[in-house]
Amino acid sequence: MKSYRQIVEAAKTEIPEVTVDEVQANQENGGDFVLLDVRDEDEYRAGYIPDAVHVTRGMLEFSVENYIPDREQKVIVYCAAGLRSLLAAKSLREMGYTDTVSMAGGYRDWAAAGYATAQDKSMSNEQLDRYSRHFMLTEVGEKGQSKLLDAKVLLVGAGGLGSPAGVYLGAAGIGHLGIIDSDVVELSNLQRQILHRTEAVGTPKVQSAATTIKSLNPDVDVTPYNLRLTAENVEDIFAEYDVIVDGCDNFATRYLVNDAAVLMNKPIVHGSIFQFEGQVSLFKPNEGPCYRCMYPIPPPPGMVPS
Amino acid sequence: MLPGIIGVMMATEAIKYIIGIGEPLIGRLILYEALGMTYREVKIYRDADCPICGENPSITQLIDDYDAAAENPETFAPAAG
Repeated sequence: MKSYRQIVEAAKTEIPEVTVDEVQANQENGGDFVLLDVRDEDEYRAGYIPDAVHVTRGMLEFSVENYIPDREQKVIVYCAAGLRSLLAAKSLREMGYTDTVSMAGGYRDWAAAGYATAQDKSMSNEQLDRYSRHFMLTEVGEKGQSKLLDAKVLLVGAGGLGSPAGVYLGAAGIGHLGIIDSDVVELSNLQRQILHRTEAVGTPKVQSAATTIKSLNPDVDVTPYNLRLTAENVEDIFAEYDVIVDGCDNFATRYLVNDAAVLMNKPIVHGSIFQFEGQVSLFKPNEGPCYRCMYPIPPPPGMVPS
Repeated sequence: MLPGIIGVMMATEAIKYIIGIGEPLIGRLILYEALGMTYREVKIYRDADCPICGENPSITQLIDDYDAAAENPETFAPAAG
């Protein structure tokens, strides 16, 4: 039987240790290494070393490959004081990582030395609970959720496509959701436009959409635009957003959205449907095609099914 | 049902893009057909002659009236000057 001290001492014979000063100098000189934080969620939340990758000691063996696929990569592991990091580094060696070291003194000594630290936007207890299933996805985590909460997404159209997109974007915690539509809710919309309820018939779609999304997730700051997108207003509106989700239902708007997004270098999530067929893509100016690369001009009127 | 499937795919792409994970649908078009329940991916490419994002774009600012232009497609992409 071994005590934890014996286990730590044994790990020390296998795993080289580096000081916080060495790590800091190495980081400043742009050294090629990954800094791996293996502390628990609450410790990480209170502050971490900038650019560190965070995988808790408990999840290390299960998910480290998602973050550090290259087993030849130099990895500097740290925890609070330098013990868990030794054991984590040893476990990484067993997994085939060839160059793992442990930072002696851990985050405690790093912070005491006055070196740079970072902290993610803090979330309320309610948010930690609401988004807890996102945190279980290692690719999302609290960092990903913070990005969602900081994101500004514009939904063009609160109809068939905008409804499900808006419901999921709102539920997922997109911090700022703009919704533009000039229509009012009609009874014939309700069979598919799930943002709108029977009692909303006759009211503006953006108002009904805002009510539904706010009740689903009060974190979302909804900006309704009860108007039609035009060449005059598009630039002022798009300027406020990082991503445009285009669920519009007419060619004039589709080409307007495309042209404005290309000119303003904004990504468009494109979707369209006709009867039983649908299509989806992401148009990223300068990196991939735009809508006009596929369809330079719209089909002549009369050829367009409505 | 179809708009739900496509709309949720759109939301998924937006979220992937914002977080910066996975393979974005840049240069790829997903085609979904509900009756056959089939799903295809086609590669789409940038067009060097694209009137707005090509090498010599004819459109360098927004058209005045997209509604009017939609009624008369030739006006949609002025010839390169």
